[in-house]
Formats: sequence, C-alpha cells, structure tokens
Amino acid sequence: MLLFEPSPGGARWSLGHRRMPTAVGTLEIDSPSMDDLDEILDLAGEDVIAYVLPQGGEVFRQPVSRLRPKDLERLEACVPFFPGRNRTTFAVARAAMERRPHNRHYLLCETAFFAELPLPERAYGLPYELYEKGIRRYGGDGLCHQWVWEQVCARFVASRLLSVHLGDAPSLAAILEGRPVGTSMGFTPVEGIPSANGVGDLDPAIVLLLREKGMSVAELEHLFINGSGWSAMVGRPVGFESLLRGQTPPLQAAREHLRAALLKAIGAGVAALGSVDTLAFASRDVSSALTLITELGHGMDIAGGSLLAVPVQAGDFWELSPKGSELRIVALEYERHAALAGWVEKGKENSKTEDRRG
Amino acid sequence: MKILVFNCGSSSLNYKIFQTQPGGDFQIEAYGKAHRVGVTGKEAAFIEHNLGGQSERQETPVRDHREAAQLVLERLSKADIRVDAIGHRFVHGGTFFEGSALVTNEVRTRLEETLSLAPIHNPNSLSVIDACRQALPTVLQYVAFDTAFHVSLPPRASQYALPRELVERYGLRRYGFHGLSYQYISRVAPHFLGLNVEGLRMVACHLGTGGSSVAAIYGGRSVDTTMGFSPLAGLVMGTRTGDLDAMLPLYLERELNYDAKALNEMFNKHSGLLGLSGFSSDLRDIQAQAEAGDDRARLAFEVYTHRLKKAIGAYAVLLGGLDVLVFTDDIGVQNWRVREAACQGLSWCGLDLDLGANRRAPADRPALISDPRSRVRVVSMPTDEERIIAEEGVRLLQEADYAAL
Repeated sequence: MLLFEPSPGGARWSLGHRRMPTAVGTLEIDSPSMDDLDEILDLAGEDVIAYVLPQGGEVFRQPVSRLRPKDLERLEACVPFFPGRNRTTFAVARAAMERRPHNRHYLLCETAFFAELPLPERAYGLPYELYEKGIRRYGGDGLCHQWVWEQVCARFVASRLLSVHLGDAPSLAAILEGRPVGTSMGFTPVEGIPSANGVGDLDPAIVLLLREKGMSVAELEHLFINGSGWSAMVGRPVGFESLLRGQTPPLQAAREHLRAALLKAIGAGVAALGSVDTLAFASRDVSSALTLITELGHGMDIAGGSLLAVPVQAGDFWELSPKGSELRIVALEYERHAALAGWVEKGKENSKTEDRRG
Repeated sequence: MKILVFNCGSSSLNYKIFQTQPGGDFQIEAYGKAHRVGVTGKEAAFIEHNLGGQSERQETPVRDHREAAQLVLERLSKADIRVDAIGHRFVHGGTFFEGSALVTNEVRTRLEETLSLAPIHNPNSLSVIDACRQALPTVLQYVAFDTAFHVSLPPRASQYALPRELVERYGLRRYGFHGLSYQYISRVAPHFLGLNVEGLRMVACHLGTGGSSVAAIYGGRSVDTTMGFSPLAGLVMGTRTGDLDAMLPLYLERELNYDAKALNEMFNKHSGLLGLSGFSSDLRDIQAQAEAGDDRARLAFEVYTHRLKKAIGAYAVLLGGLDVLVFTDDIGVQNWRVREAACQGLSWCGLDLDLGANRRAPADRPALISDPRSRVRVVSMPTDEERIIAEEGVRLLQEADYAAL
C-alpha cells in the first residue's frame, strides 16, 4: 500500500504492507506538476494507493471508502472545511488517480468515526441556522481512536473507554460501547489540545482581534495550523519526542502546558462518558512516553485509577494498572502505517461485498 | 467609614453603600439598581432605591451608565448620604492591573487603555468613574478588577500556544473573569462548610444570566478558569458562544461572507442560549419551552449543561481530586435543574447530589446540596461582589493612610 497523508511540508508518503513501511518521504505539492509524484507512484507498482482526509465534513461518513474519479468532486467539496490539509489530499488524490487509473484508490477519513456524536457534543453555542449549514464539531483522529477501541476489545471487555493519542497532534475520544460521545477536536483538528504546530483551544476574541490588527484569513489559517503549538511557545521546531526529552525551561514549560491540557481533556472526556472503565493511551513509542503516561494515569486516582510500579509489557501492549482495578489503564504502540493498512484491508473487504452485490 | 460601590452590568447599574462596623464587618445602609440603562424598547428605564429601609421607584429615562450614576448620586445627596470613598467594579484590568487601585489621573489613563479589552463593560465603568469624579471631586475613588483574582494562574493555564512575539505585542493571555465573585466564594464557602482553605480543591461555577464561567481553585487561589483573553470564551452563555474552534471564524468569513464586525456582533450578542433556542437567552423561558416539547429549547439547555459538566470534570482531574463544588450567581443559586443536570454522571469523581436538598435550596443563602455520603461537598451559594469591592476599599484606604503617616 502507498499511503499519502497531508503534513506541514506537503504530503507525507509511506510504502509497505506490514508493521514498518519500507520507504517513506514527503512530496512537495507547491509545483502544479508535482514533479516527484511519478517516481513515488512507480514504487507502488500495482499496489493500492490510499489518502488520508483530515476533515470529511458531512460528505464522507465512512472511515474507509473506495475512491473513484466520480468521487473527486465530493472530495473537492471538503476542501473549504480545512483548506490547507484537505486541499493537499484532494490535489494528490486527483493527480495520482489521473496518472494511475488502474490502481485501486482508497480514502481514509479522520472524522467519519464521529459522524454520529451526540447532539450536545456536536453543537457549538452558535445560532442554530449555522449548525444546519454544517457548522458543528466533527472531531478528528478517528482512524486512530477507532483502532484503539478495536484493539482493546480484542484483548478484554471494555464498555466506557477513553482513548488518548499521544504524538505530534494529541487528541482524545470518549467512546461508549464503540460509539464516540466526546472528542477533543472540533470543527477542525486544530481545536482542543495544542499540538507541535497547531494552536489548540483559543479564545475566539483573539481571532477577531488579530483580524482587526490586519492579519488576513490566509495568514491566520497558516498561523493556527503551522505556526503555533509547542514549537511557537519554545521558539523553534519541537516534535512530541523532543518535547518529552527536553530539559530546558521553555521545553519543560511547554511539556507542563501539554500535561495540563491532557488532564483537562481527560476529565472532560470522563464527564461526557459518565464513568470510565478503560483508559487507553496510543503512542508510536510507548516507552518514550511512559513518564507522561504515568503522570496522566496518576491524575485518574479520582476515578479509581491505580498504577503498577512497573508496567507489564506484552509485545506492543502495555498493562499499567494492577489486575482487578476499577479503572484499567493500558497503552498501545501505534504504528500509523500499519494501522492505516489495516483500514485499507477493511476497505477492500467492503469493496468485494459491494461488488458481489452488484 | 462609608463606601459607595458601583457595579456596572451591560444594561444595569447596581449600587450599595457599606458602613464599616467594629470588627471589620459591614452594614448595608442603602442599595439600588438602575434598570434598562441605554435600552430602547417598550419597557421604560427606572431606578429602584432602598434608602434607610424605604423602597422607592424612580421612573426616568436613563440614556447611559454615566447618566445612571449621576441620578444615583443626586438621589443620595438629596437623602443627605455622604460617603468616604467610591469603589467601582472593572471587568478587565489588562496586563497592567494586578490588583485594586486608587483612581489617580495616571490610573485613569491606564484604565482608558483597557477599554477595547472588554468593550461591553469597561467603557461603562469608566463613564461612571468620570461621573463620580465630576460630581464628588474630593471623594477618593478606586477600582477593583474581575481579572485580579486570576493573576495567580500558572503559565500552563494562562498561556496560549501562540508565537511569543504576538503574545507580547497584543497581551494575548488568559485573564479570566468573575474574579470578585470567586474571591468571595473561595473564602466564604470553606467557612460555611467548616473546612480549612489550605490545600482545598474547589471548583466554582459562576452562572450569571449574562456571563458564566467556571474556576478551578486550589488553596484559595485560581489555578484555571474557562473564560480567557475575553469573557467570550468558555461555557455557552446567554448570548455568547463560549469556546469555538479557532478556524471557525475564518471559515465563516471565507465561505459564508461574514466580516469581522458581524462576527463580533454574532458571537457576543446573538449566540449562546439565544442562538441555539432561537427565541430567548433566559434559561427559564428555555426550560419552559423544552418541557413543552420544543426541540431547539431542549438542545440549548443540553448544550449549556453539557459544557458545564465537562468543565467541572476537566477541573476535577486537573486538581487531582475535588473537595468542594460551588454553584453561584443568578442561575447558580436559582436553577436547581441546571445544578442537577450538571452533576448527573459525576459520581466517578466522588460527587453525589442530594436531589431533594438541591430542589429545596433557597436562593438567598448558602445551602449544602450534596448527599451526606458524597466525598465532594456541593454548595449553592449567593455571591457578593460588592462586598469584596468594599473590602478592597477599606484595605486601599488603610494602606493610603499608612503611606501618609
């Protein structure tokens, strides 16, 4: 599978089938011809090509769907919801489908999992007419959170789960019997917990003030998606793992800021659930994030959480709470390419079923 | 010592006269309120006065807060009431004011610099100060700020994840509001419950008919709060949106052709309960309609209480546990349904409401409304911002006296 995912520098791509991708890179999409695309597509041969759509609005309500040329118009309709990143997905998908019409193409949508969020969680405090025009909370990072739910349920019985994704763009989902009832992300993935470059929660009056001071809509979009977050607080590019390791005062302050934001998101998530039986962390490298995970787990003493002195690791799964705990705390290694490859496999199965139905 | 306190609302002006008593207590000698200040409509403006145990209603046009203050001062003068100092509530102190201050010419200039930070409230308060300085030039005046209580916010709560250069240029930080109310609650609630303030983990919900917020208070100090740079952020309010995705205003401009001025107007005046219900910003009207089967009214109520519940949950975890939950201000003390809905499903943090006690709780005095087995004590309690302003006045005047010695 060849996977494209929008990123600050263009479209990040990865190629491979199983756990670790065999090749990775970034496609710059500034030039209309996308000079390097052919070379990347050559690597894929006849493999499936998949594209991650960060914000599918009301248009894409399935986590994975076969993408055919007739769907491009619907994909383009999603661009305004999250212009920078959605446009990248659209542009790469269109260009790749033109160049490789005989490959199978799949779209992976990050908001589909949250399509049926309960109304009070979905609605903003805005005039209802805007809600009817699609101004609502769509959530985000759903491919990860749905994966977490499935992974946990494959191991033990969970009913009320809080899924926390720790990485460059942290997020949280509150999941009741497999259906999300809470999300930290909003209309776009920018809302919620600040990320490496994303601003997270921000008083809307600040947006209006910066407009009044002369910043354009495009400048502010760039600022909130690419020019804020921990990197802006520290004053240089900072990824999740360097944030965890950093010892300088600005890095420590940014880490403390993140820890507080995560604790609040966890508390809000449990409140949305009404109670919680499982707290699951997903991270690319759990052992690096273990100190932060432990701090967050301690914050759940209030909800019956307790932690083992030494976590028990079994492969890519970590058990952090003692047996019989009221609240089970676990962590999962999240290898994104492999998890998304799993989604594509599901998409293939769905396509076969659809084909059989005619 | 006699202190007159003015408290400006967006369309009202409250006043109270406090007489200091031996032992540091106060007696309220007079109070009143100008209603419908600057409001045009069917109902006329009026001022109610309660002077020396007598109530009266003064029917008079009141164009703005300055005129309301002038009318109050004239009435007090007619009743031969003289005051030693006048205290003013000021919503936003910006980066300059970290505590109450005597109004000097320099302070007045600084106050003027804060007007754009709270355009609905600060200009009204400054106009009242000006009216008082003109009418009573020899009487000391001072300001007490809603933002001052939140000066203790740690950087993890006060900072936005924005570039430092922008933060410094425009003073972009979480200031927090309703601080005078939280200052009162953080002192009086532990006293009411017989608890020591030190190490106490409290969440206080100031739920007003206009603005609402929640604060996380540890050991009597604010450690986080839902309102932010402005009073627009946080909970869904009467006509204000509360929190929005930062990308949303930009989408509305780009795709739905709003301009910044229209957005400001909509976010502050046509959103919240009013926007969701489509007919009222008053929770009582909304509840009545919801019970009559109006879906949008029910949605408005559910969004309001859902956000409130999430804020309580967020702060309970942030504080590492919860000892006391307080509901205050008009909605907080008068609306048992809001309290019940907000507390439903919070038993995971040790909170169990006594449903009967909650329904019976009086609005005019503190009431314990949690179940006796509840680990968290839940209290409904009226706030008293004017009293805090009076106390600040006594403190400032004493400090001024010491300085003069």
